[in-house]
Amino acid sequence: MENYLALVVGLYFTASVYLLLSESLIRMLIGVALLGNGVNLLIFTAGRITREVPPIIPEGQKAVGMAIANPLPQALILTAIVISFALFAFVLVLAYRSYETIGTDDTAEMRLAEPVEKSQLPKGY
Amino acid sequence: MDVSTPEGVMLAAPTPAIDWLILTPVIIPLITAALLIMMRRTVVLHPLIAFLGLSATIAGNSALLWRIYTEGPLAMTMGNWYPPFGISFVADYLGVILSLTASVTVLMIALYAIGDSNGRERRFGFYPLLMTLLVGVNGSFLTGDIFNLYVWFEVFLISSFGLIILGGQPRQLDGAVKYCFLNLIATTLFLIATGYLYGIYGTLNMADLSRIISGAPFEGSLVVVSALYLLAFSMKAAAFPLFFWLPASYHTPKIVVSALFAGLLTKVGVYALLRTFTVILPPAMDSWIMEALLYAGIGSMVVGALGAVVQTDLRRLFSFLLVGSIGFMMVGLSLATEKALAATIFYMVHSILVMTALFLTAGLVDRYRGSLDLRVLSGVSGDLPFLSLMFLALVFMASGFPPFSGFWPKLALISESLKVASYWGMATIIFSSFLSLIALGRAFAFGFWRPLLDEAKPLVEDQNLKRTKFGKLQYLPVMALVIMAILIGILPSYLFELTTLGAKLLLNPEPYVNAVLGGAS
Repeated sequence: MENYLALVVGLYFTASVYLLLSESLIRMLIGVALLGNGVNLLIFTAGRITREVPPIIPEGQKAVGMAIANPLPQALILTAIVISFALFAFVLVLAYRSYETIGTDDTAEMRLAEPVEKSQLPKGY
Repeated sequence: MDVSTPEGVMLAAPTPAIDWLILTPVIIPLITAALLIMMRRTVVLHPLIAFLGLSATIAGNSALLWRIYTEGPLAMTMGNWYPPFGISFVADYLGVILSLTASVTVLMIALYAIGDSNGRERRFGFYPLLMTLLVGVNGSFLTGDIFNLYVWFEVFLISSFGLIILGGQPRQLDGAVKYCFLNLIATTLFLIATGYLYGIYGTLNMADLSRIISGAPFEGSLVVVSALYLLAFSMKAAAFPLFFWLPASYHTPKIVVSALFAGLLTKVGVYALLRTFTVILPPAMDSWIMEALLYAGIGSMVVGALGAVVQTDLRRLFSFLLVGSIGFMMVGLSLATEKALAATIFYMVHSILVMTALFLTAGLVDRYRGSLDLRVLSGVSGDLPFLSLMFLALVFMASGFPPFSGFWPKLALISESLKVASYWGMATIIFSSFLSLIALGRAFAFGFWRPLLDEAKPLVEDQNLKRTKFGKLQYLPVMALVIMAILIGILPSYLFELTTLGAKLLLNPEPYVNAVLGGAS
């Protein structure tokens, strides 16, 4: 099962790298979203897929004495989902604002911060 | 999952009350940030509350430093879980020295921003974001869990996103797009590596990882994880060849925000490199990773220095210098000797103070001149002799002149390079320092020393009308940063003593591991 999921993760990463290499902001946004989902799946797979009982400590004991499902990957993924959701929301708004203000979503044309100048250096430099 | 604690016990003894000190550098700014957000209608009080909160943070940090100086590294695991299960916080010299420096720097930034941020920016959350950024940075320095390190990275990242777009100029949005995308990808790479690490070793506690991995051969999946960490943290640190986002964005936000970023953010990347390739993955120290760090460092120094020489905008010039300064730290790490690591930590402290001061000086110059373009900027020394003097001192510090703070770590790095016969690193340190001196010296000669140009006069008069009443107060933080940098330059032995202890702990992490895992058994 882990092997198939690893392949799926690979597919996610391939698609996201392809999209991130694009010059269009929209495609890059989708690439970021795919990358985030790929990572979540990766952590899930890294925690191993098992069919076990939930990790609940029986009453009167201080530890679980039997085989249990690993709860940690779920905690990690939950954290990662929340974080990547917040950041993605921010980047989405940022991309829209910059499209409105700068008038293009082509990263090659976004040169306001680094304008192409002919002569850069002052006299006597 | 088998539970391999003594007698299957998962809860450790409660932490002594005094050890809760370890949380102060994170919890105090967090509470302050919450207070500031609740008081968003009375922005007049924001600087005062931030000042109080930051002073308390610095006090907590200093107490923590004193405590680990007298009693060795300190660890605390949240919720009293037995260490690998709970999230640990660990205070060692590297983390506490840097978090103290970061807190002091943010205090200076907060003071400077009193006269620099208007009510609109404060309502949009300048001070709360400043505090949450410090929360993230201090959390990164103190955490003992690598997934938690990722979370702190995201905390300061989202705060920095908020700060970089504050003001909303088109130029800012352009810079912010590049900054946000590349940093987002870098932290995702970090998360990928962490996922693999968990898949292989089943633990994320740094001390636990250190114990398991030390002595393991550097091959197979460990190489993949190390390479991913190298890539992710080098990108965060803006090292060659992954530095392009930095000069593309650091000159666009408000200058006080640039100063904050230049001082703190790239250093967190360097800190993560230091921590990962010494404590967490000890086998990487004898592998090609160190060579990769050396060449990345050499590349950063060359590109940073050459970039600084050709820039005409003062802030972009400083941005390239910042890339160069990252190179020194990476070369220091690649040498991996005790003295070289001590010099690297020293250089980090120096670089945080000096880079912040340089950008803040640029902010003051901008206030009086209205432009930071060296083609127009002129005659500052005639009107503002004291500011020019401070800038000159910073020029000497940043390029590493003997009595100043940049000189000592460079000297140590050069002598260590000679010892391990790493001549390219040594040659580049000298070459890059020389070029930095040319770039900064020229900035001084053109911007400060040259008499006021005719074409700059209307700009200056226009600027004189716009100045606010807090102008003089803003000298104070710059002065304080310069004085601190001068002090560590004149009396380097005290800081070197601390950083040497930090380097010892990196090369021999046993006390670090024992503080986390030994305390509970």
